[in-house]
Amino acid sequence: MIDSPFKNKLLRDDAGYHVSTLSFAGIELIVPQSEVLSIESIYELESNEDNENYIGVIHKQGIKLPVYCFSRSMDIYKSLPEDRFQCVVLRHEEFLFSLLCNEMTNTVINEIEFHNLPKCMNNSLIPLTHLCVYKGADNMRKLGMVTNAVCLNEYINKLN
Amino acid sequence: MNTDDNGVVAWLLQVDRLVNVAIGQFELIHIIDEPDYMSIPQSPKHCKDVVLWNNNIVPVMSLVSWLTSEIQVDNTGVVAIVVYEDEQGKHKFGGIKLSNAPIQAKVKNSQQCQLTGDFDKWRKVSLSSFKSKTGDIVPIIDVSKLFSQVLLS
Repeated sequence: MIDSPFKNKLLRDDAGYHVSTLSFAGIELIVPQSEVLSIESIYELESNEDNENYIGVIHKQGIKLPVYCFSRSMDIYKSLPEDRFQCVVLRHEEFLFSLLCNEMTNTVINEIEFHNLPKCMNNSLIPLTHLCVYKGADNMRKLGMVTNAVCLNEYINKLN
Repeated sequence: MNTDDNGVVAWLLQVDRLVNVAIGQFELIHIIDEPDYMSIPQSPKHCKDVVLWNNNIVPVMSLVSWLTSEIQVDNTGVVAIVVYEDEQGKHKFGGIKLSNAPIQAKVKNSQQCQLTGDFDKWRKVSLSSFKSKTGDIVPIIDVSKLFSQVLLS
């Protein structure tokens, strides 16, 4: 267990840690709620005509944002899965980008412990900052995968 | 391992129908039957999953995947929870996917043998090896090494 610098990015108040959970392809990524700018409809998506890694673009604040779509193992999908309806816009330190999700939920978690990735599985490609154990709404302890916009963007750049 | 007049007590772990490995008597601390895995994206094929055990996040090794370089899709077996010391001397927990529950066995010095041929790969994570009563070569796993970064290279 570690005292994660990631905690600084999670808004914490008396209620607990404010996180957003991005769900797609059967996995859930926990990101700081402060990094989720908005959710745009899939109908806003313009398909990608060029050969880049993103599946399409949406327009936000007068800017074209790339929309990325991942499989369960977080490989890039270039064709649109039928079950993704939400483009979740993430706020990177320097720009915006979007992930195609089944669902995004905002949650307040009372208890969360951050853990480094186990050494035996750690490699530079894993798009996570930490793993975590948290108490779910049903009061059961659960495993979670923690990431943020910087980490996801670095991962996407490595795939390019 | 605990020595006595009859040899050394070890746990035999059946990682698949044809492959057994051994660890020390006190390295095995728990068995989980068909646990809930969480798969980590972009993790190595031999260590794709973690499980939650006693509030610890435990990485789970698939020695079958390591041997074959294929992802082990059958998650119906059991997971042996083992304890080891990391480089800093801290106790850590790891999991090893098994096809059956472990069994205890006594291993005598006279059973010691070399890792040859198909078993050469095991040198990376083995302390030693021995021949079982049925004549199979059984690597004795260095658990600390198994859960270090040695299999990543």
